[in-house]
Order: sequence, then C-alpha cells, then structure tokens
Amino acid sequence: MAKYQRSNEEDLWIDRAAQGDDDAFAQIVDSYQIPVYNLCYRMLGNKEEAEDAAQETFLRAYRNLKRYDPKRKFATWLLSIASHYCIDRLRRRRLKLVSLDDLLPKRGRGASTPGAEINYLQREHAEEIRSMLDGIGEKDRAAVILRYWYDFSYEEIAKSLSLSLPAVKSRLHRTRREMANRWSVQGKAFAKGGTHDEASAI
Amino acid sequence: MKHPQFEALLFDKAHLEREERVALEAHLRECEHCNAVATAWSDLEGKMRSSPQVEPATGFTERFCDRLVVYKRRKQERFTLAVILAILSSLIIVTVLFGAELLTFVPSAISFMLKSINGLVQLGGLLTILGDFALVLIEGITQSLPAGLLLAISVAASGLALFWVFSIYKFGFKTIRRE
Repeated sequence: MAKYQRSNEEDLWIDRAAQGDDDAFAQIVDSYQIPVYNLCYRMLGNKEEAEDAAQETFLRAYRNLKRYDPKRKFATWLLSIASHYCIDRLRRRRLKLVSLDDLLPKRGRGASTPGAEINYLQREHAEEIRSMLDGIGEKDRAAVILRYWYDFSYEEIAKSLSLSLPAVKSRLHRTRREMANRWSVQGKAFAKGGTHDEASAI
Repeated sequence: MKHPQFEALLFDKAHLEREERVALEAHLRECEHCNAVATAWSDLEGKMRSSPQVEPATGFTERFCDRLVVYKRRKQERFTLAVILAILSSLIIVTVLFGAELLTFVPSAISFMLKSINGLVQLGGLLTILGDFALVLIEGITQSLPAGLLLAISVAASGLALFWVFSIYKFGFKTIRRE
C-alpha cells in the first residue's frame, strides 16, 4: 500500500499521542481524515453517516492507540478500524430494514450551464459506482474499496478484515465477476436510454 | 482452460505471466462471454480507480476535538459514578458481613466516649486553678517591686515583642534574597 507511507514526523506524533498528547493526535486526524472519510463514504454511501463513522473511527483509534503495533503500517491499522466499524454499521442498518434508496441524495435534472453539466456527469459517474458498491455484501464491499481505492495487497486486506488469504481471493473474484456482469447489464440499459432505476431493476 | 479459469485471469491482468496473458488474449478473441466480462470489468475498474477521494466538510479535526472533549468528560463521569458505586457496595458488603460483630463494639465505644468527656472536664478544671495561681503570683510580684523597675521591665518586654514581630515580618512573610 504505497499511498500512505509513514514519515518520521508521524512516528513522533503517534508516540506522543500514545503518551496522552491530544494535540499530537489532532495532527494524526488532520493527516488521515481524507482516506478515513473516503473509506466510510464509499462503504456507507451517505455523507452524514460517513462523517459520524470517520469521527468514531478516530475515537476508537484514540482509545486503542496503546495497543497499536508499530511494526504495522498506521494507515492500514486505521483503515482496518474504519472497515470493521462500517461493516458493523451496515449490518445494523440492514437489521433496521432501512432502504438504501432513501439514503441516496436526489439527482438534479435539467442542468443548463456547462459547469452544471460537468457536475451532473461527475455525480452520475459517482452514483454509478455507488450503486455498484451498494449491491454487494459488507465485507466484499470493504475488500473492493481497500483494493481499488487504497491499493491494499491481498495480504493487507486479509489482515484488515480478519479473513484468510484464500477467502479474500475467493471473495474478490466472486465480487468482481458479479460487478462486471451487473455493469455490463447496466451499460446495455443505459445504451437503450434507460435510467439508473431501470438498470437497477434489471 | 475453461471460462472460470479465464475469468480468474482477466480480473488480475496486472499479475499475469506471459503465457497466461497470451492464452487469455487468444480466448478473449474467440469467446464473446468472457470478452464482454473483460470489457465491463476494465471499464468499471478504470472508473473506480479514477474516482476521486471524497473529502469531509471543513473543520473535521475541530469537530473531532470537540467530540474527544465530550468523550473524556463522559468517561470521567462514568469513573466517578463507578467509584461511588464501589464505595457504597463495599459499605453494604461490610455492613452485611460484619454488622453483627460491629454492634458488639457499640457499648464499649459509648463508655470510652463518656470517659474521654469526663477527662476533658477534669483537665479544664485543672487549667482554671493554674490560671488563678498565675494571677495571684503576678499581683504579688507587681506589688513587691519598685515602680521604676516595673517600668524598665515593661519597656524591655515591649522592645522584645516589637523585635519578635519585626523578625517574623522580615523572615516569615518576605522571601530571603539569594546571593
């Protein structure tokens, strides 16, 4: 996972934070807020929930900082906490039978300016990906996000999600095939002039 | 190789050996199903990888610090409550376990208290007698001494008292300057 390499300065912050220095921990939060928030957003698909989950992730990291093994990459450890928390949250959400459709923001229509058109296309693009992620199970979703947004190796995914290496490979293979099939079907639906809802229904 | 084996290869294109790559490409030219899966996956993977990181609203760290303060306060409150409950439960346990034995000590404790009060009263009487004796002694001395000597003793005593007060002020309330 080359994206988030730890620097000496970060080592110092982590050491100081572990000794109870809250300012040092605030520096850590500042450094990792984007990757942690992004993971929570990709997992939960909702900005308010993502904010709450990211804050909770940092709070859990704060509480367990003394248990952090410095041999492990800090970003991997932090994202692992975020993944587990989001998986639990999705399970609770499923138990409460909340419809995912209610959580999706309403798409704006009838964009008239070029800027608005670009924004609309970006939103469309983001929504396509989100609908793909929403359609898969919690752990599979976490594995895909860690693999394709954070460049985690199979071993890192296995460690982060408390799975065996063969289980990660098998889950990722099954999920990718499923997503590719759904993507292909959605593409055909869009080509025929359908909407997301129609594609999802297919 | 069959479809599932080729599918396994096409999802991990970056890590393929040369022979595997050649076999996969040959298969994709012939197999419409695998080709469709490969195209869809390649498109989706590209979109996922190019999708930007979503950022939180400004002030995330400040909001976290506020949350941390609330968390610490609640933790402190929980700790205080736990201590109070522990003390109360300990008292209840001690009372339940040793209550009967403690009651046997009550009579002897009352008699000890009465004896102590009696001793204090006797000590007060003794001090009163000593005070009366000191007054009689001072009156005798002042009547037997000449007036000039009494004045000299009073002045000397006043001077000593002033010197005592000054030394307390100098060394007691003011810091001693270190050289």
